[in-house]
Amino acid sequence: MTTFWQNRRHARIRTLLSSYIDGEVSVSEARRVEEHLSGCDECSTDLESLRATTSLLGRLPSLETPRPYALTAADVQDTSPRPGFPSLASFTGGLATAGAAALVVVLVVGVVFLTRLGITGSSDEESAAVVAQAPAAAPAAPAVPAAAPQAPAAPRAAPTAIPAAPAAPAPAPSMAQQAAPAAPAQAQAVPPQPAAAAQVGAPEAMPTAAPMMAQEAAPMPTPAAPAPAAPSTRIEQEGEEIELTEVELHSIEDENAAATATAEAHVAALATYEAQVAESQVAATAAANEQVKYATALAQWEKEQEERAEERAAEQRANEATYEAQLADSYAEATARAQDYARRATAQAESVESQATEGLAQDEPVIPMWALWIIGIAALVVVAALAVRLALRRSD
Amino acid sequence: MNTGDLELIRRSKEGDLDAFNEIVARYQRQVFNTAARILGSASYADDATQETFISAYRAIGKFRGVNLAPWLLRIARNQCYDMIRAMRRRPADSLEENLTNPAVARAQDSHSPEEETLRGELAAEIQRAILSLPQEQRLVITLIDVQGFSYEEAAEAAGVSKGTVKSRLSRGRARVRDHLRRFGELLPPEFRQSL
Repeated sequence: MTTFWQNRRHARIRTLLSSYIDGEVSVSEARRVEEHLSGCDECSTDLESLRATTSLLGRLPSLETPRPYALTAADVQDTSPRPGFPSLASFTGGLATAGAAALVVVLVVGVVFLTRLGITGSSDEESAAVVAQAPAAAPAAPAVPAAAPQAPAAPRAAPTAIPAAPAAPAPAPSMAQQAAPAAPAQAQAVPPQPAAAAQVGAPEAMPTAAPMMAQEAAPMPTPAAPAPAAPSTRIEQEGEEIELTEVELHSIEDENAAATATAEAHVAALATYEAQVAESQVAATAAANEQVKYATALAQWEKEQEERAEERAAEQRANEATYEAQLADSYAEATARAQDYARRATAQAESVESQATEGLAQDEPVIPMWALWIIGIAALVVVAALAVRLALRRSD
Repeated sequence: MNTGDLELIRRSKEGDLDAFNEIVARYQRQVFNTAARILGSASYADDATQETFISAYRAIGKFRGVNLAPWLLRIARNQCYDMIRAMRRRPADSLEENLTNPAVARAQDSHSPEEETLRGELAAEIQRAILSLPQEQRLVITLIDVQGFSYEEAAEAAGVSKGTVKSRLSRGRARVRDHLRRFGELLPPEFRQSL
């Protein structure tokens, strides 16, 4: 009986020895183990053998890896299952990219086209205005259409400081061309000035001007020309003008000075206009650059969106695969655990059986103790009965 | 866990392959050794290690812990069990390679005698003893006694409780001991009496 309980305790301590070696037992368990070891040579030997086994296992060499296992982009790519046809996300992403690219092209072409069209249209209007409102500037008018394409931003930058561009034949042809697009506004706003300028400038720079044009300019009042026909006479007969009176000479000088001042004002205004045109061109270039930058950024954004969509799709596929793998692992684990439980149950049954067999073979009596007690008591009763009977017989 | 693992994990989750390869460099030896001891074959361990890191790269987005080693070793365990199942269906493939391959030879040559690592027949016999264990005992013996992981890490890698690890380890150690007792002549002198 005592041996049976000893065997049970022995087996329980044995299961703790492995954890005891590693210090993975509770304080009470450690105390029980130590108490048992102090009086059990078998368990002490067992402990030493387990320690030796653990030490041997720990001395196994650490194996070197045969190669580095760093993944390449190809490794990762190969592991991501890809469908045989493009995904909806990539398809829509491609459409979006194509649409964005087309939109950018249309925007750029449209801006350029509208810019050119706007300049040409206003130039045409300006040239018409020059012809209609300032006939005296006819020699400059033919240059206007040719000048228009060279000054694309002219309508926006039309300077207000050009008082008489249509009637400014004196400047160089290139200057006249640049001034021409901005002329109509001034011609409309200040109608009297072109006539006066033409009246003054014509004798100097336009000796071959048509008489009809000079006649059209003649009606404008001038201090030195009280007679309407006088200017035309002077122009045609230059030699006779020398003999005119001092008053007339002074008048002519004044006119010349005024014309010079006007011409200088024109030159200054043209210079300002040129500067403004240059600024406008710079601004237009900057605007074009901005548009290009915006288009580039838009295309890049679209590309990023497409890449993100592809990444999300790839991640989803990977997640699905991982989930499937985890499911399979869980199933395999559950199966393995069930098998383990079955093995453990079998092992425990065998252990109990072997312990029972050992107990029977070594220490435990063949007949249980309670049976011996019953037999003993029965024997005593029989003996007592026999003794009583014998005593009664003797007394008889 | 190694210093900087969290940063590498974060970058890996964002698809940074270089960061993930840093993780690979840190843990490839542990993964390979575990696979080699469980499978008993360096060539199969090579495949299992590669597959482990590919699977880990695909699943790193779902990693929520802070300790990478048990997570990687659990993936490695699954890869090894899959291989063992596949090899059982093809009996021609033997696991009895004994790890007497060039990798082991290099590992043995690289150690000095002072390190007291086991060589030759005894190491092969201990490997056979490990391979004679059931899979679950093989795993915990490898992780705790060969690789030196804690009970908690082994429990996490094996996907079982710490108590289960203790019982598996106890039974595994007893079986390895019983196996080695039959080869006493191979044992170092100091172990002949105690084993």
